[in-house]
Parts: sequence; structure tokens; C-alpha cells
Amino acid sequence: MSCSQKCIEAARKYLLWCANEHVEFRIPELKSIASMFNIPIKWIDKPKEDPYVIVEMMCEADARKLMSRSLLVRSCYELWGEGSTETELHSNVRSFPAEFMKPHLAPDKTFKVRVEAFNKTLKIADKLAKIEALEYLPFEGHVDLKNADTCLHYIEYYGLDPNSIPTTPYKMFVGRWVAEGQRELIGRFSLKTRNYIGSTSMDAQLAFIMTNLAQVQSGEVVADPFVGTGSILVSAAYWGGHVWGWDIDFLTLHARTKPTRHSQKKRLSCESIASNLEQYGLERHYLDVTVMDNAKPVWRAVPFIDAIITDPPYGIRESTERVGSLKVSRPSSYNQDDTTNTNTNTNTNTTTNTTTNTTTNTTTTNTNTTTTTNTNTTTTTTNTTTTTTTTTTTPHTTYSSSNHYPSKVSYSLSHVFCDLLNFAAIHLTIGGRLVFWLPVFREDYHDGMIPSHPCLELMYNCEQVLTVHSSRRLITLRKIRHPTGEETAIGQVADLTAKFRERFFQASLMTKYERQAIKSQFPRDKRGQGLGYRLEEAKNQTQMVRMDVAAKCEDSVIALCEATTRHKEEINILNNVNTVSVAMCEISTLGNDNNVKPIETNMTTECVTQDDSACCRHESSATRNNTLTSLSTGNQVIHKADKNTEGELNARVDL
Amino acid sequence: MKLITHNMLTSKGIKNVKEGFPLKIQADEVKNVDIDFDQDFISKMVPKLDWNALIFAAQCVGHKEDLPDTLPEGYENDEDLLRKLHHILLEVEVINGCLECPETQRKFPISNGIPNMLLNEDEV
Repeated sequence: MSCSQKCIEAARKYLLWCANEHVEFRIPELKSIASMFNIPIKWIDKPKEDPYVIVEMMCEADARKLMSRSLLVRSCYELWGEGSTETELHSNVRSFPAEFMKPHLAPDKTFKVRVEAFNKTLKIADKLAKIEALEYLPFEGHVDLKNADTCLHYIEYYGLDPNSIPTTPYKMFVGRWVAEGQRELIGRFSLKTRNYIGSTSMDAQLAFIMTNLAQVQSGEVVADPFVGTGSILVSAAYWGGHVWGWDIDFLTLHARTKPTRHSQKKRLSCESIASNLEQYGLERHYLDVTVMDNAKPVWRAVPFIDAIITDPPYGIRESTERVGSLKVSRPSSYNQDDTTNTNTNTNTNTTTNTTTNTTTNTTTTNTNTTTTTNTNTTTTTTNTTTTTTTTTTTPHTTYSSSNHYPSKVSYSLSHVFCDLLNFAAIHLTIGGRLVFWLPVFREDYHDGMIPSHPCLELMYNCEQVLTVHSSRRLITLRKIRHPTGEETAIGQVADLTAKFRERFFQASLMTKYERQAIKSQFPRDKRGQGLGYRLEEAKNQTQMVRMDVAAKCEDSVIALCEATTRHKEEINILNNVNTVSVAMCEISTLGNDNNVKPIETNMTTECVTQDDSACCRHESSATRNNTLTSLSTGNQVIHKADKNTEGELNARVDL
Repeated sequence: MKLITHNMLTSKGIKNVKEGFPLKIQADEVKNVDIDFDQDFISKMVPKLDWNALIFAAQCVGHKEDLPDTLPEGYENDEDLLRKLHHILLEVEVINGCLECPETQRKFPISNGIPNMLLNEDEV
């Protein structure tokens, strides 16, 4: 009744105050929820980085529905006014129709006003003054600070950079609180208190975001083909999905792997995927988990799944494998794979996963896996360029009635995604969604790397940065039609994904400065790209100029690092020759996260002859770009790039 | 393993197997669990099921009871039937036993309620 009344009223603006994390997922999540509930949304303000979104919706019930699913919106307010200055704000609030305000400020309604500031702590006296300034509103009810019917919020936004907080806010809003988002689920479903977890259990927040992108609703069938410990099933079941999961790892499904919790020595008998659902009272949504090879899924070829949500192993913390052996011939589609990386391992080596699992240091992980490959007993050729290592998980015989355990071979990432897409094309219902993570090496990434299938349409592609060099992208595909006869197996996957593991471990050997150089290629990661910064730039033209200089200098640092690797061999040769002179250039590097620091570059050239050890020194000032050019034109080889603690880069150059 | 899962599984992955459906259930241990009735889900699920395979599975585990041999029309509104289906699909669980391929008699073990559908390397 009240809803229909409100629906007749004109559309209103709502301020969605968002969590300041997973920024790339914010809009896709909102769009996905809105389309799931058929909520018409008009986007009024959609800043790229600032933690708010302003939308127009037809009624408050729609706003509440949106909030009932959103993980990335903290709170929703009916926007009464906004402005960049106090005058603008108050004139804006005054022009908000009185008939929209009055019902909430009527004599029978208690009210309270809260003042909040983003990125600043306000004094009580300041807050009071701001509340007093709202006295022109037609308040008629009584104040109730505990259980007010109407909560007005006065929000000030001081940008995203905690190191340069402006004296006056960039933006001010006044709104009536409508609903909270679902942020509390993050704590309630935290992996810290989860019954059964493994090394790659999905973080609760991301799992919920994934289920939102997949539009899981009550009564739907959800499947996770790389189920692991079932962390995604928990979120899907919470929204009412009925969940199936499968995985090739017998030990994981039977909760017999080495515990990943720091203090835990043994798996408890109560640990299982089903127990994770029971923990939250969701057992009625549990269908089954089965041990199954994704290269050979044995499901009946009918469209019975409404959403496939999964996180395939990348070969870093969990190995990618399928059943197979060198000794037998395999389908033609895997021929290429066979020639490069078919190492059959009959070791009773169950430790590969678990050792890599517990290590957080990627360099160590690399060493571990390498040693494992070398211990293969029936290895034919250990090809060092293969993208995945071969491991066999050989469960203890008491867990199964069968005595034979199939050997497993590596399953390249390209094939993983290809099989996943083909599976989705057959088994999803029309409109059903496939949501999965695609690990990418950031430098290599381009849109062509996103797997595609003629029956699946790309909905969203959001990046989560993992390390300076790699990230994973959450890909959401929607099934638009059933495949025809030949279309069942034509998923298109760029070959590049197969190289992810190799690139990942190469990158883990990078020096700190090579890392920084890569980091500067992706300035979007940096904080402070929000409204605050944009305004600051416009105000101060000199800072803009400095940012340009900064960009150039960063380029030169990259070039320097490239040169370092390129000339490694020459350096080795040069090491044996008498060093005639050394040119040293000192480059003061940029502040880590801040582009707007002034740049000072000094170049010192030092010539040392071996015989008389006479030194001559030239000092000059130049931009870094020039420094590098002059160094390279002099036919010099960069000898060593190292750092000192002040964050300076010293490049030694041999003439 | 619940019978709803059985209804979707095949042994088609084995070399030279054409249908591989329905798999025969050899149940060594069957458990009855209590699960809340969700009418929406069951009526949504029924059209996706293979009715004959369901009856076959129910017979295998000794729970045929009075399920009709063919799916009656208007089942969506037959709450009594939907409740029966709910019971057979979700509440009867095979804890230990195996699934047998109808063509090759290859057995897939079920242990701890989890079927192991992995094929041997010479079968793929």
C-alpha cells in the first residue's frame, strides 16, 4: 500500500555511500542487482573513484531492494541536497520539495541529525554548528537519539588522500537515511570463523559479490566446477541458491588435506563442505559435491544450471590438473598439450599442494614446485617452459574402495577456461550466468584475452589487483542461446592465459625497482585519483606540470630497468675486462604513491681510470629523461641498478 | 549422494560409452535426512529431471513407494506429489556404495556420501 503510494510520486535521487574498496566492482554489482530485480535506475553521478554514487529511482521500495543485496554500498540516503559549498548545499536543501520532507518531520515522528565526515575527524562543536544550520527545516517532532523514526545525515567528503586533507570539504550532502547495505555479511561469513577452509577459499565479500554478479536468487541451481572448500557455495546458498560442486581433488572434498589454519595440526572429523553450509543454517540448499575431472564432466547434457560461479586454480597455490597419462593416446584437442607438458608422476607425493598452500612468499613457492617436478619418477622430459607443474595427489587407500588412483597431468589454463565455457554453453539455462576469475599478467593483458563463446555474452569484466605485476579479472558472461550441434565445443581462449604461471614466477624474481617501474604503468591503482585530486589539479596548474614531468621520469625508470635485463650478458663479459671508468647517475625516485611531488634530478658523472686512480667529476642537472638519453648515446652499458635506503636509484654505467 | 544428483550423472566420459545413463545404484548405506520442503525449487526442478531414471534410482535404493510411473500432468499444483518428490530427491542419501555404468559395468565408488566419478587414465 505505502509502496504503491510512493511509486506514484516522482522519482527521487538517492545517495549510495559506498565502501572504499573493490572500486571496479561497484557499478557492475549495482547494475547486476538492479537488472535482477527489474529496478529502473537513472545514473546521476557515477564518479570513478569517490566513494559515492547518486542514482534516481522510482520508489523507496526499489532502493531497499537494491540495498538488500549490495555488498559494496554501505548506506543509502534519500538525497535532500548537495553542494560544493555550504551556501550551495543549503539552497539546494531549501529547494527540495517540502511535501517530500514533511511526512518525515511530522509531529508524530521522532528524528535525529548525524554529521559525518569522510577522511576527516570533526570536532563536536563543529558538528553542532552544522546541525544548527539546518534549523530552517520544518522539524515538528521530538528528538530521539536512540530510535529515531527519521535519521538525517549531513555528510562531508574530504577526498581520498589522508595526507592532504583540505580545510573545506569537496562535497557536502544532506539526506534521509533509508537502508544499510549488506556489509555486515562480511563479518558474519568471515573465513576466520568458517568451519572448513583451504588455501584458496574465497573471501566472503568477493564470494558475495560474485553471487550478485551471477544474480543468484531463491530456488535456482548454482554450480561450482572447482569447488575446493565450498566457499562460493556458502554465499550462493545464502541467497537461496541450491548448490552443486565438484572438483578433481578427492582429498579436498573429503576434507583430508593438510589444515591451512595456522594453529591447526589435524583436520577435524566435522570439517566438510556440507558442514560449512550447516554452520550458517543453509544445509537445505546443499545438493551434493562429487569428485570429477573438469576436462571430462559427466553431467547429463541438458541445461539445468542457472548460474556457474567459480574460481579455477591458476597453478600458483593450487595446481591445475586433469586425469591423463603419457602411455595412452588422448583426444586430438589435447595433442598440443601432450607434446609439451605431459609428465606422468607416480610419486606418492601429496605434499605439493600443501607446501605451496602454506607459503605466502611466492618465491619460496616457486622453489618448492620446481623441486617437485624434478622428483618425478617416470618423467620423460622436464620441459622448463611448461606452464604448470605436474603433480599427483595420491590419497590414502582407506578413503576409497578402489585401489587405483588415476595419474594426473597438467591442465593448461587455456584448456581450463575452454572447457569451462563449453560446459557453461551446454548446461546453463538461457539467461544463466557464468562468473569466474581470469588470472592475468598485467603487462600482457588486452581485451582479446577474455575467453569467449558464441552462446555467451560478456556482461562485466572487473579487475582485482593482486600484486604489482599480476591481477585477476572477474568475468561475467550470460548465456544468450543454446548451442547448435557443432557449437558445443568452440570456446575461444587466447593462448596467453597459459603463460600466466610462468610469467608469475619470473616476476617474483624482479627487483624492487623493476616492480616500481611496473607499478608506475598502472597509475589507477594509486589512491587519490578521486574528486579531491581532480579539483586540486585544476586549482594548481604548476602541479599539473609536475605530474607531466613525473610521468616522463617514470618512463625513463622503466627504460632503465629494461636496459638492465637486456644487458645482463654483456655485463658478465665486461666484468672480466678492466673497468676504465664509471659513470654514475643518481636519480631521486618518486614518492611511492604521490605523483605531485616536485622532481629534482641530478646527474653526477664520475670517471675513474685504473692506473692513476684520478677522478674527475662532472655534475649537471637534467631531467631524468635527458640523463638516460645521454647515457645510452654514449654507448654505455648499465652495470648495476641498486638502491639505497632513501629510495634513490643508483645506476652504475661502464664505459 | 542424493538422488537428484544421480539424475544428472552419466558415465559418458568412458571411451566408447554412448549414453551411460541411468547409472545403476548399489547402495551399501542409505541415510534419511530431514530437509525443509521448498516447493518452488522442486517444481522448478521437475521438468529438468529424467522421470524414468528417477523411478529407477528410487527402486535401486528401495524407496519406490507410491511414485507414479509417469509424471502426471498438473504436478505443479500437486503439493502431495511434490512433497514425495522432495523426499526422494533430497532426503534419501546414499552414503556408501557405488554407481555402475549400464554399458561397461564400470563402478564409481561412493564414499562418505561423495561419488568419485574420476576415470582412470586409460579410460579417457
